Amino acid sequence: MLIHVVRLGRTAGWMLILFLTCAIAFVLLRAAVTGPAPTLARPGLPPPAAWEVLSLSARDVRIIGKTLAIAGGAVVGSFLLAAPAVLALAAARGRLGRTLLYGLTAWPLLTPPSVIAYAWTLLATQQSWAGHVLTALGWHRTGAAPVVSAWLQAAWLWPIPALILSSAVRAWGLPAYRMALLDARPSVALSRAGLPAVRGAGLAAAGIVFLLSIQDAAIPPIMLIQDTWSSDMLMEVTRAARFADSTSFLLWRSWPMIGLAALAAGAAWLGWGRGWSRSGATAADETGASGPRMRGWSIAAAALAFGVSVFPVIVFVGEVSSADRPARELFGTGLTAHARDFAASLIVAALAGLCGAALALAVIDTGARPRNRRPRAALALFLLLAVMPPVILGRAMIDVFDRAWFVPQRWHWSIYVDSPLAWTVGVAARFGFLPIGLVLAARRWLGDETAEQARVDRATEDEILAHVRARQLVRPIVAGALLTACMALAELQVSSLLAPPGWIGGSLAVALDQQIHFGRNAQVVAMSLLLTLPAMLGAMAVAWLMSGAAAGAAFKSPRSVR
Amino acid sequence: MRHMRYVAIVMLGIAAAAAGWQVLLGPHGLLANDASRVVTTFGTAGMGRGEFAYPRGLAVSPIDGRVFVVDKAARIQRFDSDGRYETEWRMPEWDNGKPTGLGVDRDNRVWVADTHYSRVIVFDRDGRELKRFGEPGEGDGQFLWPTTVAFDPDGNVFVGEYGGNDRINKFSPWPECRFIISFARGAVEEGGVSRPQGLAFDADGVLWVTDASNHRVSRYDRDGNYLGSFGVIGGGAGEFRYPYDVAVRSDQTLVISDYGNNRVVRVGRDGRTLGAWGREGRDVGCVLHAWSLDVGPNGRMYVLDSWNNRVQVVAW
Repeated sequence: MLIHVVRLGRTAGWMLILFLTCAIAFVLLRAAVTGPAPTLARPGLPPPAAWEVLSLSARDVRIIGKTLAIAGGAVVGSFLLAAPAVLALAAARGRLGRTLLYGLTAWPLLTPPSVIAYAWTLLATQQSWAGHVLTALGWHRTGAAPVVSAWLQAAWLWPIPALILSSAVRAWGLPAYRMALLDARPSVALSRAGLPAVRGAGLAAAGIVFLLSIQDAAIPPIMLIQDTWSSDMLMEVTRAARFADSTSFLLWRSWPMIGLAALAAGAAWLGWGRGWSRSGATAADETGASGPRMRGWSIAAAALAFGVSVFPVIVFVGEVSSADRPARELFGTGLTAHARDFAASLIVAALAGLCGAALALAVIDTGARPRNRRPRAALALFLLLAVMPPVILGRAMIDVFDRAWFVPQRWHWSIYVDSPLAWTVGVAARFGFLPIGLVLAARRWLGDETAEQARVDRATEDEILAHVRARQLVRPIVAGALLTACMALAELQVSSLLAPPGWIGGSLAVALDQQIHFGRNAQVVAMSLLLTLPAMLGAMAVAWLMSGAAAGAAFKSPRSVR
Repeated sequence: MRHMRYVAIVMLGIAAAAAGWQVLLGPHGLLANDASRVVTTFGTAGMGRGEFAYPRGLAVSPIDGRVFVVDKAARIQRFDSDGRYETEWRMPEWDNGKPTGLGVDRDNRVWVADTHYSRVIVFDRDGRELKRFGEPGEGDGQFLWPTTVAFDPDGNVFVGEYGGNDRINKFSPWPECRFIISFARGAVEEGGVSRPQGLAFDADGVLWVTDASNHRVSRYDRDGNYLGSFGVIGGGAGEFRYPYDVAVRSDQTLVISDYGNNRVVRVGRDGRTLGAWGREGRDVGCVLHAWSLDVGPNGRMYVLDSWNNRVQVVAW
């Protein structure tokens, strides 16, 4: 039975990879062939010339400047929040403790950014001491909006540096620091050995935070900043509707953002690579050192950082309990208002999770072919999709689905246009790099001995895949699928383009995002609180799985690697 | 070849899901839409003339039936009653955000609730600015986020607002526009409103308000006295999910754009449901999040089909 499940999953995974490869190749080739000058799809104003599409107006420069400033602030803020948490994570002991701390850390990342921003804006407008403090700090000043946006993005993205750096500190930073302590002062050991050892991981984390920040179109608009690149791209999609090939126009038009995203991704790749090469050199904590010891001040700082994770829930619970209607009525009304969206989003999230599992299964191997490049090619494909601005990814999906000439016209509507299939494929394409990355990272820690032994015992390759590899990698596979599902549930931009009208419902994250813009509303608060629940469960489940994984991965402690 | 079996299983799974989807909701499916009431549609996605970028406010001139639409590009476009594009202009500022509602008075002046600038700007029908009033604040004559504008039979101006100070403000007729009273404060209590997104007066001078976040429609006299409300949350008869706008037909029944349910509901003055038009979708006769609607002097209903970037003209 397991063999059939694995075969089916791998087949579905490779079919998805093949489809997306064709789709992305089609979109990129078409953009290359048509060039930057668009042609009109219908009569109207003359289309812009190529130089007009490619050149940057004063407004474009201002938008890019603001986007970069917010992203830079988000990187700094996320590292400030992550720093104390890194110590706590690196010092965490026991599976339960690690699960709790890693789960708390990952929680904000799986929560829709608009929900996190909503919690902070609710607090800032409360007639409470906290509201007065935020007001006194300048929260409501018009000029402060970019700073506040950067802070809110930091409150959403800080898990990335926390998780990556804590892994790096345990694996490479502490051993290097302790080795240097043998003949240097602590400050010198830290600056010359400890910090350089985790520099690559820091670069990777900064690149990822920067990338996600410039792609975010949820938080700045809530702070009334309409002119960031991602927010503006939503209007560009409308503008592009009059062109024959709108995706090509959007690709050419957004070259600065794609360039910035590629730079950020390149930095992350470079940093990640440095980290891995270093891990090979030190063989992951060969000194036998245990995690760092937490002191009073660092415990307090870590508590503050983890407080940021649970902060939205505290605010929402406070709002619900102080509302002038009973909580049960609020949840009842909120659920009635958004029940269809909730059901539709959960179904699509579950389907996206299945796609994630299929992708993860697709890239596992038996080790029989030492130079098997297909898994890394699949990872590269999904990283490319992740780097692409989400709006363009969504628009490209529509383009591909609309032009699927090999499908009879009668079936276009049901299979592609406005179907949950397109929505599922879109979000799976955006987050597919997570399960693939997790499985490939875990695979690096696995030896081929068990598979070889099975081969000696005359097991077939299919049996080795199902009964050896899939079992060895079951935790990263399930964790990757859960991550994909949670991220799909919280996704905004692709869902806003691909969520089908006339189905069970639309995207709950999109529906809530629209209502969040209207300010304080007890039902929306109740629904936001409810939406943090799957994020929390997902984060805890992933942390539980990865903290006990038989094979090491990003979350893995060196102790259990041995 | 052995993989072909699994390829076939995956393809069959997709085909089965698609067939179910087609049977239920496809163009000839069980829930197919009746577009017979739609006289015409105009507008499509875009930034050109006669195109819309997520339009959110619509008003019809009670004099000549011209249609004014404001979209998220901060443009106000004017069409004739058949939907032919005539002219357009832009709001003076839009960096903070774009307007969400507008009204046209009996002298063809266009009153735009400039939501994110906490003010109302009055234009003539060609887009020349005539007056602006209001400033940020919660006091008399101030707004947080004004939503829309309506006029009673005496020409008094009513402005809805939300953002923590949800209420309706009454101003004297043109050209003074002096603050008179505000009413309907108090969010969820009887007589209070939570995001009054749409306002309309009937021939008797009764003000009908779509109380969006309370999922109901309330009515007031022109002095702001509460007269009653109807509607609860849901998708059935007598139920609404974020009702966004209301208009009064010549027979004094109401049409309400039920934003969250993607339909337009016709109700009597007692709140009894008389019918519904539209369902969720992109085809003609379907709507996707209708923000606004109005009834023209020709008796036709103009429905702002926001996510589909068009206006559907419905004879109903």
